[in-house]
Amino acid sequence: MILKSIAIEGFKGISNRIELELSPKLTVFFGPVAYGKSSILEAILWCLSCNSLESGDWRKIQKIFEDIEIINLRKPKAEVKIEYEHNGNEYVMFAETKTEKGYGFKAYDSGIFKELSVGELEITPFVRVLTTAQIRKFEFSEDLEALNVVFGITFWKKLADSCDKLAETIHDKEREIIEKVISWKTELEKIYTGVLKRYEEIAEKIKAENISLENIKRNLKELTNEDIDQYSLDDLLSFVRQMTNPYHGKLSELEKEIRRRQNELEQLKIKCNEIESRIHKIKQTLNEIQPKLEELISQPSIEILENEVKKLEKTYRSIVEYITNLGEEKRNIESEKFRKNRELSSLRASYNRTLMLERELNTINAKLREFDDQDLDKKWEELKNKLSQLYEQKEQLEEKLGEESKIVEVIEQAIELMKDDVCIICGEKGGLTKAKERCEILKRKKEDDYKRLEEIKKEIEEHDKLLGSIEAQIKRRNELMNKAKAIQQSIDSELKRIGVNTLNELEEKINSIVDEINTLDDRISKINEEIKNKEGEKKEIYRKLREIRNKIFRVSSIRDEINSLLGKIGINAWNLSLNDLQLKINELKDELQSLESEREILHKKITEIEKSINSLKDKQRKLEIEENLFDGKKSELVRQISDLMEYEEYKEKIEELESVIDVLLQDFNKINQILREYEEKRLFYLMLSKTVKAFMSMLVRQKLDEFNELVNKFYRSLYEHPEFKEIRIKFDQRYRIAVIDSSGNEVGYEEILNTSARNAVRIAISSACSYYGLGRSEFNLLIIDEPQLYLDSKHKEKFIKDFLPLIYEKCQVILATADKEFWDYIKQYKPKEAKLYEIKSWSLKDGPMIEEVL
Amino acid sequence: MITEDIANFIKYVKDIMSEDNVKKVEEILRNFSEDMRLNEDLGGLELKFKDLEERVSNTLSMLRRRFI
Repeated sequence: MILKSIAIEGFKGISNRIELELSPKLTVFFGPVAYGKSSILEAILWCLSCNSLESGDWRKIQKIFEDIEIINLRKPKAEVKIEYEHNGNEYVMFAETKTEKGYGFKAYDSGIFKELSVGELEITPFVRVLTTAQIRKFEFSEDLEALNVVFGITFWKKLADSCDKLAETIHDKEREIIEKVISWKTELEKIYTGVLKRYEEIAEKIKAENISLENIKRNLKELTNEDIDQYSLDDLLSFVRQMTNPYHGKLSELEKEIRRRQNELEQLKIKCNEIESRIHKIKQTLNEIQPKLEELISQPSIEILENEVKKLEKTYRSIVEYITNLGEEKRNIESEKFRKNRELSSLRASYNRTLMLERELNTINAKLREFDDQDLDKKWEELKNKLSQLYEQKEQLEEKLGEESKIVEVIEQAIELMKDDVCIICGEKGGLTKAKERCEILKRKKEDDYKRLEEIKKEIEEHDKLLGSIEAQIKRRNELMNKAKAIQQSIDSELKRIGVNTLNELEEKINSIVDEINTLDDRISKINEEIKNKEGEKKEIYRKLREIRNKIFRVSSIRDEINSLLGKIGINAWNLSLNDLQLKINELKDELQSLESEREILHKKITEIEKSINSLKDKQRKLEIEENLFDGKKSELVRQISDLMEYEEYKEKIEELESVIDVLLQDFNKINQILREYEEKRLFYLMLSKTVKAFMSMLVRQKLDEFNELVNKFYRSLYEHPEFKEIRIKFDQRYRIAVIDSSGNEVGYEEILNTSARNAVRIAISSACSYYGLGRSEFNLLIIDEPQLYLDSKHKEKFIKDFLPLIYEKCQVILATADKEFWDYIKQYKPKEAKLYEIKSWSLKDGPMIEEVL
Repeated sequence: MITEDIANFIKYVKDIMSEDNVKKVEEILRNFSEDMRLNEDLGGLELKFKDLEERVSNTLSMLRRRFI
C-alpha cells in the first residue's frame, strides 16, 4: 500500500486547503521552524489513525495527540483526505473533526486499509511519525513492547494473559465454594449440636426424676376419680390443665361473707366515729363558751357604752376646734414676728455695713490729712523748673564739648603735617609751638567741661528720682481722695435706701423693731400655754373614749366568739338575746348526754362483729392451704407430662436431623467432586500459560537475532562510532537495549552513548521495525520529523547517502526538516522519484505557501 | 507467519503434554479470540454447583426454621 496524495484543510497550522502529491519512495518538506511542516506529517498520522479506529474511540485519538489543538484557529473543523494505491487499485480515505474540541471524528475509507494487518496504529511501529519527542519514547521499555507487534507475538501474549486470568478466576471460584461449604458445615454443626444438647438434657432429667406415663396416671388417680387408663400424653395434658380446684368455690363464698361483715363493721365504725366527733365538738364548745359567757354577763350592755361614747366625742370635737383657732392666731403672730425679724436682720446688716464704711472713711481721711502739710504740688513745680534748667545746661555743654573736640582734632592733624615750627595754615613762625600749646589748653578745658557735664548729669538723675517720688505721693493722695469720695457715696445711698438720714436714726429704728418683736413673743407664749392646757383636756377625753371603745370591742368580740363557736356545731345564735343564748346552751348539754348513751350501744355491736370476722378468717386460712396443695400437685403433673412430651419430640427430631445430614453429606461430596474438576482445569490453564510463555520467549529470541542484524545494518549506515559499533535488543520477559564494545562486552546503553548516537539508535530501531514488517504487512511507511537533530555534517550526509536508500527501496519515507545543510544533501542525493517541497512562507490567515522543488 | 508459529507451538506442546491436553490446546487455539471465551468451559461446573448450592441453602433454611 502506497500513499499517493494528501489534501489538508483546517488542521493545526494549515488553514486553507493544500493538496500535495507524495512519492512512493521519498517525500521531503523543508522550511523554517513553525512554518507548518509538522502539521502536514501529523495530518497524515491523524487521518490514518481515525480510519484505523471505530468513530467512538475518540479517547484513543486524544491519547495519541495528547494536548495538540487539532482544529486550526480560523476554521470550524479539520479535514484530511488521503488517496492511496493497493495491488494496482486506487482508493480514498478521509477524516474530519466532529466536535469543537477536535477529538471526536468522522472517517471514511473506500479501500481495504482497515483490513490490512497493521492493527491499531497507536502501537504499530510500521507507521510512525517520529517527532523528536516520540523518538525519545524509545528509552522506555513500554515503547519497546511494540516489538511484540513486529514479531507477531501479541497473539501468544494475549493467550498467556487469558490463561493466567482464567486460572485466577478458577482460583477465586474455588475459594468462594470452599468458604461457602465451611460456612454451611459450621451452621449444620451448630443446629445438630443445639438439638442434641437439649435432647440429652431432657433425657437425663426424666431418668433422674423417674418420670413415666404409669407414674403420672397413678398420681392423677389420687387427685381425681376419673377413668384415665386409655389417655395418651396429649389427652392427659389437656385433662390436667382443665382440672378445677374444688377449694376455689368454698373459699369464694367465705370471702364474700367476710367482706359483708367487714362492710357492716365499717359502717358501724363510721357512725360511731361521727358520734364521737360530735360529742368531742360539743364538749369543746361548752368548755370554751362558759368563761366567755360569765365575762359577758359581768359587763354593761353595748347600748349604754355607746351613749357614753357619743357624749365624750362631742366634748372632744369642741376642744379640738378651740385648739385649731388658737393655732391659727399663733401662726398669724409668728408670721408677723418672722416678717419683723427679717426686717430687723436687713436693718442690722445695713447698720453694720454703714458703720464699717464710716470707719474706713475715717481712716482714709486721716491719711489724707498727712498730705496736707507736705505741699506736694509746689514741690513738684519747683523740681520741674530745676530739671528744665539742668537739661538746658547739659545741652549747651555737650555742644561746646563737640566743638572743642573738632578743633583739637584739626590742630592735631595740622601738627602732624608741620615739619618746621611754622604754621602750615598761615605760615606764622613758632606756629607749631603755639599750636601745641593751644591744643593742650583746649584739652584741659575740654576735660573741665566734661567733668562739669558729668556733674550736671548726676544732678539731673537725683532730681529725676526726687520728682518720681513726689509724683508717686501725688498719685497715692489722689487715689485716697477718690476712694473717700466713693465710700461717702455708698454710705449716703445705703441710708437713703432705708429711709433715714443718719446712722443714729437707723439705730433708733432698729431698737423700735426689737421692741415690737418682744411684744409678739409674749403673745405667742400666752397662746402656747392656752393650747397646752386644752391639749391636756383633749388627751384625757381621748383616753376615756379609747377605754369605753375597748370595752365595746371586748363585749362584741366575746359575743362574736360565742356565736362563732356555736356556729361551728351548727347553732345560729347571731340574733339571740343574752337570755335566749343561755337557753340554747342548756339544750346543747342535753344533746351531749343523749349522744354518749348511743355511743355505748354502738361499741358493743362492733365488738361482736369483729369476733365473728376473726373466726371466719381462721376458716379461710385452712381452706387456702388445701387449695395450694391441690394446685402444686396439678402443676407438677403438668410439668412432668410436658417434659415427657418434649423428650419424645426431641427423640423424633434427632432421627429426622440425622437423615437430613446424610443427604447433605452426599451433596458436600458432590461439591468436592466439582472442586476437583475446577482444580484440574486451573492446573491445565497454568500449565498452558507457562508453556506459551516459554514458547514466546523462544520465538522472540529467534526473531531478535534476525532483527538485531537489521538494526545494526541501519545503525552503522547512520552513525560511525569508534568503539561502539554494535547495538543489541535483548529479551528477558521485557525488551531492553544493550551496546556491545569492540571486545564484544555488553555495556550500559544510557551511560555510554551520546545524544547523537542514541538518536541514531532510535531511528535505526524504528526503521528496522518498518523494514522487518515488510514480510508481515502490506503497508510500510516511515515518517520522521527533523531526523537530523544532533547529527553533525558528516552524519547528516551519511543519513541521506547511506541510510535512506536502504529504507526507501522497500518502504515509503516522508521527512520534514528545517536544516539547510541537511536539505542540500537531500537535493544532492535524492532518488529520481523523490518529491521535495519547500515552504516559502506561513501566515495565520492562509497557512503555509508551499512550492515543489524540481 | 502466525499459522506457522501455531503449528510449531502444537509440535512443542506434544512433547510435554498428554494427548487429551494437546487436543484441548488445539481446540483453544482454533477458537481463541481476544476476549477468549474460555468461561464457556467452566459453564457446566458452574451450573452443577449452582444446583447443589440451591439445594443445600434450601435444606439449611428448612433446618433453621425447624430447629432454631
